[in-house]
Amino acid sequence: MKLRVNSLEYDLAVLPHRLLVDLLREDLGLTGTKRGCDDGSCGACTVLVDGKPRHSCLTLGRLVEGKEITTIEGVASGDGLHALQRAFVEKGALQCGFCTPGMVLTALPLLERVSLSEEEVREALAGNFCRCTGYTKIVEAVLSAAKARGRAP
Amino acid sequence: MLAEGFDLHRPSSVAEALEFAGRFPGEFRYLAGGTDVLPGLFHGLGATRHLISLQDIAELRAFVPEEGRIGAMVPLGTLAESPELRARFPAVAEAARQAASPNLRNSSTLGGNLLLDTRCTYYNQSAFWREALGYCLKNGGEECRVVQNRERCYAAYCGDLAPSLLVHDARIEVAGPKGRHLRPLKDLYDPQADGRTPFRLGPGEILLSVSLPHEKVRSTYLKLRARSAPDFPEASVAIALTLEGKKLRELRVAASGVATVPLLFEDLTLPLIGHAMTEEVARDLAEKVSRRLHPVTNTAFPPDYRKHVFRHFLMSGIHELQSGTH
Repeated sequence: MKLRVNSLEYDLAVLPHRLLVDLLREDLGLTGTKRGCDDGSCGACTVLVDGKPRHSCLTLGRLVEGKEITTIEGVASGDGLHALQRAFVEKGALQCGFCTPGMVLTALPLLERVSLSEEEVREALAGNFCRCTGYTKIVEAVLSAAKARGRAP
Repeated sequence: MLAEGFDLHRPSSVAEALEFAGRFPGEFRYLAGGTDVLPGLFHGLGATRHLISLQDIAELRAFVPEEGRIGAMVPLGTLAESPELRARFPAVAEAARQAASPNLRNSSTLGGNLLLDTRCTYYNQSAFWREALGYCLKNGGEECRVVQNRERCYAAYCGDLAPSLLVHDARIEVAGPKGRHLRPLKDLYDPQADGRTPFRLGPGEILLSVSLPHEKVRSTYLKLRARSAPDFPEASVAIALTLEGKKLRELRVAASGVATVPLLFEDLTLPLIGHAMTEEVARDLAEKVSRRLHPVTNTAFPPDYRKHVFRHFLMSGIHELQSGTH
Protein backbone atom coordinates (compact mmCIF):
# COMPACT_ATOMS: atom_id res chain seq x y z
CA MET A 1 0.00 0.00 0.00
CA LYS A 2 0.96 3.66 -0.32
CA LEU A 3 1.65 5.65 2.82
CA ARG A 4 2.08 9.44 2.63
CA VAL A 5 4.28 10.78 5.42
CA ASN A 6 5.59 14.34 5.59
CA SER A 7 4.71 14.89 1.92
CA LEU A 8 6.69 11.84 0.77
CA GLU A 9 5.03 8.74 -0.60
CA TYR A 10 6.22 5.30 0.50
CA ASP A 11 5.36 1.90 -0.92
CA LEU A 12 5.00 -0.59 1.91
CA ALA A 13 3.75 -4.11 2.42
CA VAL A 14 1.60 -3.82 5.55
CA LEU A 15 0.15 -6.76 7.47
CA PRO A 16 -3.30 -6.19 9.06
CA HIS A 17 -1.99 -6.14 12.64
CA ARG A 18 0.71 -3.48 12.10
CA LEU A 19 0.11 -0.18 13.82
CA LEU A 20 0.92 3.22 12.37
CA VAL A 21 3.45 3.88 15.15
CA ASP A 22 5.41 0.76 14.15
CA LEU A 23 5.35 1.58 10.44
CA LEU A 24 6.75 5.01 11.23
CA ARG A 25 9.41 3.90 13.71
CA GLU A 26 10.48 0.52 12.34
CA ASP A 27 9.80 0.61 8.59
CA LEU A 28 10.52 4.28 7.92
CA GLY A 29 13.01 4.94 10.74
CA LEU A 30 11.05 7.99 11.90
CA THR A 31 11.72 7.44 15.60
CA GLY A 32 10.63 10.93 16.64
CA THR A 33 7.17 9.46 17.20
CA LYS A 34 7.23 7.81 20.63
CA ARG A 35 5.39 4.77 21.85
CA GLY A 36 4.17 5.32 25.39
CA CYS A 37 1.20 3.75 27.13
CA ASP A 38 -0.45 1.70 24.34
CA ASP A 39 -3.92 2.65 25.50
CA GLY A 40 -4.51 6.25 24.52
CA SER A 41 -3.70 7.77 27.91
CA CYS A 42 -0.38 9.50 27.30
CA GLY A 43 -0.41 11.10 23.84
CA ALA A 44 3.32 10.49 23.18
CA CYS A 45 2.53 8.76 19.87
CA THR A 46 0.45 11.65 18.49
CA VAL A 47 0.82 12.38 14.78
CA LEU A 48 -1.35 14.42 12.43
CA VAL A 49 -3.64 12.45 10.14
CA ASP A 50 -5.12 14.78 7.53
CA GLY A 51 -4.27 17.66 9.85
CA LYS A 52 -5.87 16.22 13.00
CA PRO A 53 -3.90 14.87 15.98
CA ARG A 54 -4.43 11.14 16.40
CA HIS A 55 -2.80 8.35 18.37
CA SER A 56 -0.53 6.38 16.02
CA CYS A 57 -0.41 3.49 18.54
CA LEU A 58 -4.21 3.08 18.23
CA THR A 59 -4.33 3.33 14.45
CA LEU A 60 -4.02 0.34 12.14
CA GLY A 61 -1.52 1.13 9.36
CA ARG A 62 -3.80 -0.11 6.60
CA LEU A 63 -6.56 2.24 7.64
CA VAL A 64 -4.53 5.39 6.92
CA GLU A 65 -3.79 4.46 3.32
CA GLY A 66 -4.19 7.57 1.17
CA LYS A 67 -4.22 9.94 4.14
CA GLU A 68 -1.59 12.62 4.80
CA ILE A 69 0.50 11.84 7.89
CA THR A 70 2.66 14.47 9.58
CA THR A 71 5.22 13.39 12.16
CA ILE A 72 7.57 15.55 14.22
CA GLU A 73 10.23 15.07 11.50
CA GLY A 74 7.94 16.94 9.10
CA VAL A 75 7.31 19.98 11.28
CA ALA A 76 10.58 21.88 10.73
CA SER A 77 11.39 23.11 7.24
CA GLY A 78 14.93 22.91 5.89
CA ASP A 79 17.48 23.48 8.65
CA GLY A 80 15.30 25.80 10.71
CA LEU A 81 13.00 24.77 13.51
CA HIS A 82 9.31 25.63 13.27
CA ALA A 83 8.32 28.70 15.31
CA LEU A 84 6.47 26.43 17.73
CA GLN A 85 9.55 24.25 18.25
CA ARG A 86 11.66 27.39 18.81
CA ALA A 87 9.15 28.55 21.40
CA PHE A 88 9.50 25.19 23.20
CA VAL A 89 13.28 25.67 23.31
CA GLU A 90 13.12 29.33 24.37
CA LYS A 91 10.58 28.72 27.14
CA GLY A 92 12.33 25.61 28.46
CA ALA A 93 9.24 23.52 27.72
CA LEU A 94 11.07 20.22 27.56
CA GLN A 95 13.34 18.18 29.74
CA CYS A 96 13.64 14.53 28.75
CA GLY A 97 11.81 15.24 25.49
CA PHE A 98 9.78 12.05 25.34
CA CYS A 99 6.40 13.81 25.32
CA THR A 100 7.59 16.73 23.17
CA PRO A 101 6.80 15.37 19.68
CA GLY A 102 3.23 14.60 20.80
CA MET A 103 2.91 17.98 22.51
CA VAL A 104 4.13 19.86 19.42
CA LEU A 105 1.86 17.96 17.04
CA THR A 106 -1.14 18.41 19.32
CA ALA A 107 -0.45 22.14 19.63
CA LEU A 108 0.33 22.75 15.95
CA PRO A 109 -3.30 22.91 14.72
CA LEU A 110 -4.11 25.33 17.57
CA LEU A 111 -1.97 27.97 15.89
CA GLU A 112 -4.47 28.06 13.00
CA ARG A 113 -7.26 29.25 15.29
CA VAL A 114 -8.38 32.86 15.07
CA SER A 115 -7.64 33.37 18.74
CA LEU A 116 -6.23 31.19 21.49
CA SER A 117 -6.60 31.46 25.26
CA GLU A 118 -4.60 29.75 27.98
CA GLU A 119 -7.66 27.73 28.93
CA GLU A 120 -8.04 26.46 25.37
CA VAL A 121 -4.39 25.39 25.27
CA ARG A 122 -4.73 23.54 28.57
CA GLU A 123 -7.87 21.80 27.38
CA ALA A 124 -6.33 20.79 24.03
CA LEU A 125 -3.22 19.36 25.75
CA ALA A 126 -5.17 17.55 28.47
CA GLY A 127 -4.56 14.15 26.86
CA ASN A 128 -0.79 14.62 26.52
CA PHE A 129 1.16 13.71 29.62
CA CYS A 130 4.49 15.24 30.63
CA ARG A 131 6.27 13.64 33.57
CA CYS A 132 9.21 16.09 33.84
CA THR A 133 8.58 19.80 33.56
CA GLY A 134 4.96 20.09 34.45
CA TYR A 135 2.74 21.93 32.07
CA THR A 136 3.28 25.62 32.78
CA LYS A 137 6.19 26.08 30.41
CA ILE A 138 4.60 23.99 27.69
CA VAL A 139 1.46 26.13 27.82
CA GLU A 140 3.64 29.26 27.81
CA ALA A 141 5.49 28.03 24.73
CA VAL A 142 2.30 27.37 22.78
CA LEU A 143 0.85 30.75 23.76
CA SER A 144 4.04 32.57 22.84
CA ALA A 145 4.07 30.92 19.38
CA ALA A 146 0.42 31.90 18.95
CA LYS A 147 1.19 35.42 20.12
CA ALA A 148 4.00 35.75 17.58
CA ARG A 149 1.34 35.10 14.94
CA GLY A 150 -1.01 37.61 16.52
CA ARG A 151 -3.44 34.87 17.64
CA ALA A 152 -3.09 35.16 21.43
CA PRO A 153 -3.00 38.10 23.88
CA MET B 1 1.77 -4.81 20.24
CA LEU B 2 -1.03 -6.34 18.29
CA ALA B 3 -0.93 -10.09 17.79
CA GLU B 4 -0.86 -11.38 14.23
CA GLY B 5 -3.52 -13.67 12.93
CA PHE B 6 -6.54 -11.64 11.96
CA ASP B 7 -7.80 -10.32 8.66
CA LEU B 8 -8.88 -6.72 8.17
CA HIS B 9 -11.82 -5.99 5.89
CA ARG B 10 -12.88 -2.61 4.57
CA PRO B 11 -16.44 -2.68 3.24
CA SER B 12 -17.61 0.52 1.54
CA SER B 13 -21.32 0.00 2.13
CA VAL B 14 -23.58 -1.34 4.87
CA ALA B 15 -24.68 -4.17 2.57
CA GLU B 16 -21.06 -5.18 2.02
CA ALA B 17 -20.33 -5.05 5.78
CA LEU B 18 -23.31 -7.35 6.44
CA GLU B 19 -22.05 -9.67 3.74
CA PHE B 20 -18.66 -9.96 5.47
CA ALA B 21 -20.40 -10.54 8.80
CA GLY B 22 -22.50 -13.29 7.25
CA ARG B 23 -19.44 -14.96 5.83
CA PHE B 24 -17.66 -15.24 9.21
CA PRO B 25 -20.37 -16.08 11.78
CA GLY B 26 -19.06 -15.83 15.33
CA GLU B 27 -15.55 -15.00 14.12
CA PHE B 28 -15.67 -11.26 13.49
CA ARG B 29 -15.89 -7.92 15.23
CA TYR B 30 -16.83 -4.57 13.78
CA LEU B 31 -14.18 -1.89 14.21
CA ALA B 32 -15.22 1.77 14.59
CA GLY B 33 -12.58 4.26 15.81
CA GLY B 34 -10.52 1.53 17.47
CA THR B 35 -9.65 3.50 20.60
CA ASP B 36 -11.19 0.86 22.87
CA VAL B 37 -11.13 -2.28 20.71
CA LEU B 38 -7.37 -2.02 19.97
CA PRO B 39 -6.17 -1.54 23.59
CA GLY B 40 -8.30 -4.60 24.42
CA LEU B 41 -6.72 -6.63 21.64
CA PHE B 42 -3.21 -5.65 22.83
CA HIS B 43 -4.06 -7.54 26.03
CA GLY B 44 -5.82 -10.43 24.33
CA LEU B 45 -9.31 -9.17 25.19
CA GLY B 46 -11.94 -9.80 22.54
CA ALA B 47 -9.56 -11.55 20.14
CA THR B 48 -11.11 -12.37 16.79
CA ARG B 49 -10.29 -13.78 13.33
CA HIS B 50 -11.80 -10.93 11.33
CA LEU B 51 -11.97 -7.21 11.97
CA ILE B 52 -14.52 -5.44 9.78
CA SER B 53 -13.69 -1.74 9.68
CA LEU B 54 -16.66 0.57 9.24
CA GLN B 55 -14.57 3.66 8.42
CA ASP B 56 -15.13 3.63 4.65
CA ILE B 57 -18.93 3.57 4.81
CA ALA B 58 -19.91 7.15 3.90
CA GLU B 59 -23.49 6.72 5.12
CA LEU B 60 -22.29 6.21 8.71
CA ARG B 61 -20.42 9.54 8.66
CA ALA B 62 -23.48 11.69 7.92
CA PHE B 63 -23.96 14.47 10.47
CA VAL B 64 -26.99 16.81 10.31
CA PRO B 65 -27.12 18.52 13.73
CA GLU B 66 -30.01 20.83 12.70
CA GLU B 67 -32.16 17.74 12.23
CA GLY B 68 -30.69 15.80 15.14
CA ARG B 69 -29.27 13.05 12.93
CA ILE B 70 -25.84 11.65 13.75
CA GLY B 71 -24.20 8.76 11.90
CA ALA B 72 -22.62 6.09 14.09
CA MET B 73 -19.13 6.74 12.68
CA VAL B 74 -19.15 10.49 13.37
CA PRO B 75 -16.11 11.24 15.57
CA LEU B 76 -16.86 12.48 19.10
CA GLY B 77 -14.70 15.54 18.35
CA THR B 78 -17.15 16.61 15.65
CA LEU B 79 -19.98 16.42 18.20
CA ALA B 80 -17.99 18.27 20.85
CA GLU B 81 -17.22 21.16 18.49
CA SER B 82 -20.60 21.58 16.80
CA PRO B 83 -22.32 24.85 17.83
CA GLU B 84 -25.61 23.62 16.27
CA LEU B 85 -25.55 20.47 18.37
CA ARG B 86 -24.74 22.46 21.52
CA ALA B 87 -27.62 24.86 20.85
CA ARG B 88 -30.21 22.11 20.38
CA PHE B 89 -28.92 19.20 22.44
CA PRO B 90 -26.54 20.70 25.02
CA ALA B 91 -26.07 17.55 27.10
CA VAL B 92 -25.02 15.58 24.01
CA ALA B 93 -22.37 18.13 22.99
CA GLU B 94 -21.19 18.38 26.61
CA ALA B 95 -20.90 14.60 27.01
CA ALA B 96 -18.82 14.47 23.82
CA ARG B 97 -16.62 17.30 25.10
CA GLN B 98 -15.98 15.43 28.34
CA ALA B 99 -15.38 12.04 26.72
CA ALA B 100 -11.83 10.64 26.46
CA SER B 101 -9.32 13.35 25.44
CA PRO B 102 -9.31 15.89 22.59
CA ASN B 103 -6.99 13.79 20.41
CA LEU B 104 -8.79 10.51 21.13
CA ARG B 105 -12.01 12.21 20.08
CA ASN B 106 -10.61 12.59 16.56
CA SER B 107 -10.69 8.78 16.29
CA SER B 108 -13.40 7.61 18.68
CA THR B 109 -16.95 7.55 17.35
CA LEU B 110 -20.52 7.92 18.56
CA GLY B 111 -21.38 4.31 17.72
CA GLY B 112 -18.25 3.00 19.42
CA ASN B 113 -19.08 4.95 22.55
CA LEU B 114 -22.70 3.73 22.66
CA LEU B 115 -21.49 0.14 22.33
CA LEU B 116 -18.43 0.59 24.57
CA ASP B 117 -17.47 -2.67 26.21
CA THR B 118 -18.11 -2.73 29.95
CA ARG B 119 -15.10 -2.13 32.18
CA CYS B 120 -13.70 -3.53 35.41
CA THR B 121 -10.41 -3.26 37.31
CA TYR B 122 -10.22 -7.05 37.16
CA TYR B 123 -10.82 -7.22 33.40
CA ASN B 124 -8.99 -4.29 31.80
CA GLN B 125 -5.58 -5.67 32.70
CA SER B 126 -2.69 -7.36 30.92
CA ALA B 127 -2.93 -11.04 29.98
CA PHE B 128 -0.26 -11.84 32.60
CA TRP B 129 -2.13 -10.00 35.35
CA ARG B 130 -5.43 -11.73 34.55
CA GLU B 131 -3.87 -15.16 34.32
CA ALA B 132 -1.98 -14.71 37.58
CA LEU B 133 -5.17 -14.05 39.52
CA GLY B 134 -7.30 -16.56 37.63
CA TYR B 135 -9.77 -15.43 34.99
CA CYS B 136 -12.95 -13.65 35.99
CA LEU B 137 -16.47 -14.28 34.66
CA LYS B 138 -16.15 -11.72 31.85
CA ASN B 139 -12.91 -13.34 30.81
CA GLY B 140 -14.39 -16.85 30.60
CA GLY B 141 -13.54 -17.78 34.18
CA GLU B 142 -15.87 -19.18 36.83
CA GLU B 143 -16.02 -16.51 39.47
CA CYS B 144 -16.46 -12.76 39.70
CA ARG B 145 -13.52 -11.11 41.50
CA VAL B 146 -15.46 -8.03 42.62
CA VAL B 147 -18.63 -9.50 44.06
CA GLN B 148 -17.89 -13.09 45.03
CA ASN B 149 -20.34 -15.11 42.95
CA ARG B 150 -20.48 -17.48 40.01
CA GLU B 151 -23.46 -16.09 38.11
CA ARG B 152 -23.36 -12.35 37.59
CA CYS B 153 -20.65 -10.13 36.07
CA TYR B 154 -20.60 -6.60 37.50
CA ALA B 155 -18.43 -4.84 34.90
CA ALA B 156 -19.54 -1.21 34.57
CA TYR B 157 -20.92 0.46 31.48
CA CYS B 158 -18.82 3.63 31.08
CA GLY B 159 -19.95 5.25 27.84
CA ASP B 160 -20.32 9.04 28.09
CA LEU B 161 -22.84 9.63 25.32
CA ALA B 162 -25.64 7.21 26.24
CA PRO B 163 -27.12 9.12 29.23
CA SER B 164 -27.34 12.41 27.30
CA LEU B 165 -28.92 10.73 24.29
CA LEU B 166 -31.36 8.87 26.57
CA VAL B 167 -32.61 12.06 28.22
CA HIS B 168 -33.06 13.54 24.75
CA ASP B 169 -35.24 10.55 23.85
CA ALA B 170 -32.96 9.31 21.07
CA ARG B 171 -33.86 6.61 18.58
CA ILE B 172 -31.39 4.44 16.76
CA GLU B 173 -31.37 2.86 13.33
CA VAL B 174 -29.98 -0.63 13.10
CA ALA B 175 -29.23 -2.78 10.04
CA GLY B 176 -29.09 -6.53 10.12
CA PRO B 177 -29.41 -9.55 7.86
CA LYS B 178 -33.20 -9.07 7.88
CA GLY B 179 -33.19 -5.40 6.96
CA ARG B 180 -33.26 -2.05 8.75
CA HIS B 181 -35.33 -0.91 11.71
CA LEU B 182 -35.72 2.01 14.11
CA ARG B 183 -36.04 1.62 17.85
CA PRO B 184 -35.62 3.63 21.05
CA LEU B 185 -31.99 3.86 22.19
CA LYS B 186 -32.99 2.56 25.63
CA ASP B 187 -33.85 -0.80 24.02
CA LEU B 188 -30.21 -1.20 22.99
CA TYR B 189 -29.34 -1.91 26.63
CA ASP B 190 -30.57 -4.95 28.54
CA PRO B 191 -30.73 -4.30 32.30
CA GLN B 192 -31.49 -7.99 32.91
CA ALA B 193 -28.28 -9.13 31.24
CA ASP B 194 -25.05 -8.89 33.19
CA GLY B 195 -21.80 -7.07 32.46
CA ARG B 196 -20.55 -9.59 29.91
CA THR B 197 -22.77 -8.49 27.01
CA PRO B 198 -25.40 -5.97 28.07
CA PHE B 199 -26.31 -5.00 24.48
CA ARG B 200 -29.40 -6.07 22.57
CA LEU B 201 -27.93 -6.46 19.10
CA GLY B 202 -28.44 -9.55 16.96
CA PRO B 203 -25.57 -11.35 15.22
CA GLY B 204 -24.12 -9.12 12.49
CA GLU B 205 -26.35 -6.15 13.31
CA ILE B 206 -24.78 -2.71 12.79
CA LEU B 207 -25.74 0.47 14.62
CA LEU B 208 -26.17 2.99 11.78
CA SER B 209 -27.27 6.27 13.30
CA VAL B 210 -28.95 8.12 16.14
CA SER B 211 -31.83 10.54 15.68
CA LEU B 212 -33.03 13.09 18.20
CA PRO B 213 -36.48 14.71 18.32
CA HIS B 214 -36.66 18.36 17.29
CA GLU B 215 -38.23 19.98 20.33
CA LYS B 216 -36.00 22.25 22.33
CA VAL B 217 -35.16 20.84 25.75
CA ARG B 218 -32.72 22.21 28.25
CA SER B 219 -30.17 19.66 29.30
CA THR B 220 -26.82 19.16 30.97
CA TYR B 221 -24.21 16.46 31.63
CA LEU B 222 -22.02 16.14 34.72
CA LYS B 223 -19.19 13.64 35.02
CA LEU B 224 -17.02 12.39 37.87
CA ARG B 225 -13.46 11.36 37.02
CA ALA B 226 -9.97 11.69 38.46
CA ARG B 227 -8.45 13.68 35.58
CA SER B 228 -10.03 15.99 33.03
CA ALA B 229 -8.72 13.60 30.34
CA PRO B 230 -8.84 10.81 29.30
CA ASP B 231 -10.73 9.04 32.09
CA PHE B 232 -13.97 7.11 31.74
CA PRO B 233 -16.84 8.27 33.97
CA GLU B 234 -16.71 7.00 37.56
CA ALA B 235 -20.31 8.16 37.70
CA SER B 236 -22.12 10.59 35.46
CA VAL B 237 -25.58 12.07 35.12
CA ALA B 238 -27.51 13.62 32.23
CA ILE B 239 -30.59 15.69 32.94
CA ALA B 240 -33.17 17.17 30.55
CA LEU B 241 -35.59 19.62 32.07
CA THR B 242 -38.15 22.06 30.67
CA LEU B 243 -40.43 24.27 32.70
CA GLU B 244 -43.84 25.71 31.85
CA GLY B 245 -44.18 28.61 34.19
CA LYS B 246 -43.10 27.11 37.49
CA LYS B 247 -44.15 23.59 36.59
CA LEU B 248 -42.22 20.78 34.98
CA ARG B 249 -43.17 20.10 31.38
CA GLU B 250 -40.39 17.60 30.90
CA LEU B 251 -37.87 15.87 33.12
CA ARG B 252 -35.57 12.96 32.36
CA VAL B 253 -32.56 11.70 34.26
CA ALA B 254 -30.00 9.09 33.14
CA ALA B 255 -26.75 7.71 34.54
CA SER B 256 -23.55 6.04 33.39
CA GLY B 257 -20.62 4.40 35.15
CA VAL B 258 -22.73 3.00 37.99
CA ALA B 259 -24.24 -0.22 36.60
CA THR B 260 -23.75 -2.75 33.81
CA VAL B 261 -25.91 -0.56 31.53
CA PRO B 262 -26.77 3.15 31.34
CA LEU B 263 -29.85 3.78 33.46
CA LEU B 264 -32.89 5.93 32.65
CA PHE B 265 -35.18 6.68 35.59
CA GLU B 266 -38.49 7.31 33.81
CA ASP B 267 -40.68 5.83 36.54
CA LEU B 268 -39.19 8.26 39.08
CA THR B 269 -39.39 11.39 36.92
CA LEU B 270 -42.76 10.90 35.15
CA PRO B 271 -44.86 11.42 38.33
CA LEU B 272 -43.18 14.82 38.77
CA ILE B 273 -44.39 16.23 35.43
CA GLY B 274 -46.91 19.02 35.96
CA HIS B 275 -45.61 19.76 39.46
CA ALA B 276 -43.24 22.46 40.66
CA MET B 277 -39.58 21.51 41.04
CA THR B 278 -38.80 22.71 44.54
CA GLU B 279 -35.58 22.15 46.46
CA GLU B 280 -37.38 19.47 48.44
CA VAL B 281 -38.63 17.62 45.34
CA ALA B 282 -35.12 17.70 43.86
CA ARG B 283 -33.64 16.28 47.07
CA ASP B 284 -36.26 13.57 47.24
CA LEU B 285 -35.63 12.62 43.59
CA ALA B 286 -31.86 12.55 44.13
CA GLU B 287 -32.40 10.26 47.11
CA LYS B 288 -34.67 7.88 45.20
CA VAL B 289 -32.40 7.76 42.15
CA SER B 290 -29.27 7.13 44.18
CA ARG B 291 -30.99 4.21 45.93
CA ARG B 292 -31.21 2.59 42.49
CA LEU B 293 -27.46 2.84 41.89
CA HIS B 294 -25.38 -0.11 42.91
CA PRO B 295 -21.81 0.75 42.01
CA VAL B 296 -19.30 -1.88 43.12
CA THR B 297 -15.56 -1.74 43.78
CA ASN B 298 -14.45 -2.13 40.16
CA THR B 299 -13.34 1.37 39.16
CA ALA B 300 -10.82 3.84 40.64
CA PHE B 301 -13.12 5.49 43.22
CA PRO B 302 -14.99 3.80 46.08
CA PRO B 303 -18.68 3.04 45.42
CA ASP B 304 -19.99 5.23 48.27
CA TYR B 305 -18.10 8.23 46.96
CA ARG B 306 -19.43 7.69 43.43
CA LYS B 307 -22.98 7.58 44.81
CA HIS B 308 -22.43 10.62 46.97
CA VAL B 309 -21.10 12.71 44.08
CA PHE B 310 -23.85 11.46 41.80
CA ARG B 311 -26.47 12.75 44.24
CA HIS B 312 -24.73 16.11 44.39
CA PHE B 313 -24.45 16.27 40.58
CA LEU B 314 -28.13 15.54 40.17
CA MET B 315 -29.15 18.30 42.59
CA SER B 316 -26.79 20.89 41.16
CA GLY B 317 -27.68 19.95 37.57
CA ILE B 318 -31.38 20.46 38.26
CA HIS B 319 -30.58 23.76 39.95
CA GLU B 320 -28.48 24.91 37.00
CA LEU B 321 -31.17 24.05 34.43
CA GLN B 322 -33.88 25.76 36.48
CA SER B 323 -31.94 28.95 36.97
CA GLY B 324 -31.58 29.17 33.20
CA THR B 325 -27.83 29.43 33.03
CA HIS B 326 -28.07 27.04 30.06
